[in-house]
Formats: sequence, structure tokens, C-alpha cells
Amino acid sequence: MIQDSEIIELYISRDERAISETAEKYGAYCEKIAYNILLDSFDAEECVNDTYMRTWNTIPPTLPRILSSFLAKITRNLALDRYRKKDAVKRSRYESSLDELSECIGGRDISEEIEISAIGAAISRFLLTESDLSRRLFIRKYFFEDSVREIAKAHGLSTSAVKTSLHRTRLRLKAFLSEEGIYI
Amino acid sequence: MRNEEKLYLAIGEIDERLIEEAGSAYKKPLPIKKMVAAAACVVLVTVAAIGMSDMFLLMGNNGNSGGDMAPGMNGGSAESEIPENGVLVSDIGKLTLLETSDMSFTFRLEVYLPTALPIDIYLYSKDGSTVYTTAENVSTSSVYRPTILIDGEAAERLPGEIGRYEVTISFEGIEELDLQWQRYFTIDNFGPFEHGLELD
Repeated sequence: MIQDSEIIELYISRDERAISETAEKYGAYCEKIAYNILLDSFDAEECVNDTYMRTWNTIPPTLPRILSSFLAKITRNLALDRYRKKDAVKRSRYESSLDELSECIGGRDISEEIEISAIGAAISRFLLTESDLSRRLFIRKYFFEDSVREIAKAHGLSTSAVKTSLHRTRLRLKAFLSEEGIYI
Repeated sequence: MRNEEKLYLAIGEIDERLIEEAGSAYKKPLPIKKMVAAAACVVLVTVAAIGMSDMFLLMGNNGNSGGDMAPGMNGGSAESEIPENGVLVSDIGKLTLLETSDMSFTFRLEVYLPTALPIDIYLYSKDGSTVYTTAENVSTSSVYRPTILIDGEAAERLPGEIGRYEVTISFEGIEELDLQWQRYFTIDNFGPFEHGLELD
């Protein structure tokens, strides 16, 4: 299978095979992320096509360190944009995640001076303090929006064990953000 | 924007290395303490058995003990799960049949949730004595290995990492074996696949 560095080189040289190679290697991966948020195959496919175009327009000058993660972030953000624009008939996992993440919030409004990227950096620092397993479960749930059942199966756990781990992680995240002075 | 929405967006800004790590296959740590305890028990039981060996009866295994069913040998329940359109979908990905020829089956495998567990293939003879499989430690009399090609290159098993692959599975030599075979082969995580070969 083609290496990520070769795909990135295709983008840099403006070779349109970059998109087909990206689709070949990461198409299903991106579609899964998009579908987890949108719960609609057609919308997910459109979102992934938008991902390819966004990536084409971003590389260069941006040079991703990790192509899979780069694509995942773009897909996730585009899926969220698309979700908010349409009237969601089904309750997306995104809404469920928002409900759960509200546990991490202390009730006060986020200061407008605190950028989302700064909070993201704080969450990264927090996750590095977590065990390998609890970190993985948290990211698979709240970044990738995998279902609890999928996460449990992939890690050889029961669904209740996954839910318990996520709940405890959310509580520790709340405490960590408070210590960092990020009152949300 | 609600605070929890901002938090959710912020999760999208975490370090890419963390995303990559979470996206990779999970290898469950070995339970070392439990393994040591289990090994100690085995030693104790073995010592006791040697000391009491004249009190044990040896029981034959006729292959139909009805104990742990071998993978893919779940009889009638497998038949109700056999897909009709050449597509198998599971929690980790999708397997789509592209073409068949002689004893070979070519699929497009799309993995979108990595798995550390091996994706093994099983094709059993009807009497359970013989199997074509990629798995290790299979308790049948005769074990044969199917030929696996991943994007044209020889492989031991199907890949479990995120990606899209062209997979060819071949049961070479199966016609020379004077046996009747199950009408489906099983692929771990995906389920049974009806091969349609005239091997009855």
C-alpha cells in the first residue's frame, strides 16, 4: 500500500492522483467518521468528498505530520458543519456526546478570550496523564464518535466497563480543566 | 455556541499523535499475574496427575464431542446469516466480493475500525475432520492453508489495520481431497460466506 509520504508528495506536486490515492487508503476511514456524526450515508459521502477538496486546497502549504489524523480532523469538522446546517431528524451521537460532555462543565460561560485550540491543547495535556486504555476510549468516543458497543468490542471490554471508564474520565477532565484555570 | 459545543470542538484540536494512537489496533496487555497463577495451577495438577495416573481413564475423542464448537462450525445458525449479495459488513469494516474463479475469491476489504485480533478464515469438511484455515492451533486432524494475496502480495492473514485492500483467498488442492465440504467458509469478524463451489 502506498505510504503517506508518497501521497503527500503527490499533493505537493499538484498531481491529482493524490486524491484518488487518499480515497483508496482512507476513504472508508473518513466515511466512518462522517457517518458516525451524520448518520446518513449520502451526507457522509458528500462530506468525505469535501474532505478531499479541503485537503487538496490545504496541502501545500500545510504539511501534515500524520495524514490519517489530519484527514480525520477535517472530516470531523466538515461533518459537524453539515450536521448543524441540516435539520437533524435522528438524534446523532454528536448530541449524545454533548450531553455527556456537559458533565465536564462547571456552569460558567467560557471566556471568549480562551480559544478553542487552547482548550484542545489542555485536553491533550490531560489525556497524556490518563492510562493508555482510558485515553483511547475517550478519543474513540468523543473524537471518532464510535458507538459504545464498537469501542467495547475493539478493546475486549463490556459496554458497561466502557461507559464507566468514560464517566470517570469526564470527571477527571473537569477537575483538570479547573486546575488549569479553564472554567467551562 | 454552548459551552459543551466548544468543548466538543476543542476535542477536535487534540494532538494528532493521540488521534493516530487511538486509531491504531489495540493490543490488550497480557495479564501476567493471572498467567503466572494459571501456570502454577497447571504444574500442581500435572504433579498430582502423575502421582495418581493409575486412577485416570483415557477417553477417546471421536470429533463430535459437542464441546467448544470450532469457529465456523455453528451449524444451522450460520446458514441463516449467509448473505445473498456478496457483501459482508461488520463492526470493523466491509467485505465485498469482486470476482470468483476456480477455487479463488477476490474481495475488496475495507477496514475502518482496526482490530488487533487476527482475521482468520475457516472452511471445514462436513465431517469436521479437515479444515482450510489461516488460524493456528486448530484441533482438527488435517489442516490446510488457503493462499492469501493482499494487493497481489502473499500474506498469512487478512489485514486488521485501517485501509482498503484487494484480497484473494484460494483453496488450492481442495478438489484433490476426497471429502465433502461445508457450502460456506467463515471469515472472523464478518461471518459465513457461501462459496458456491461444487464440492458436495
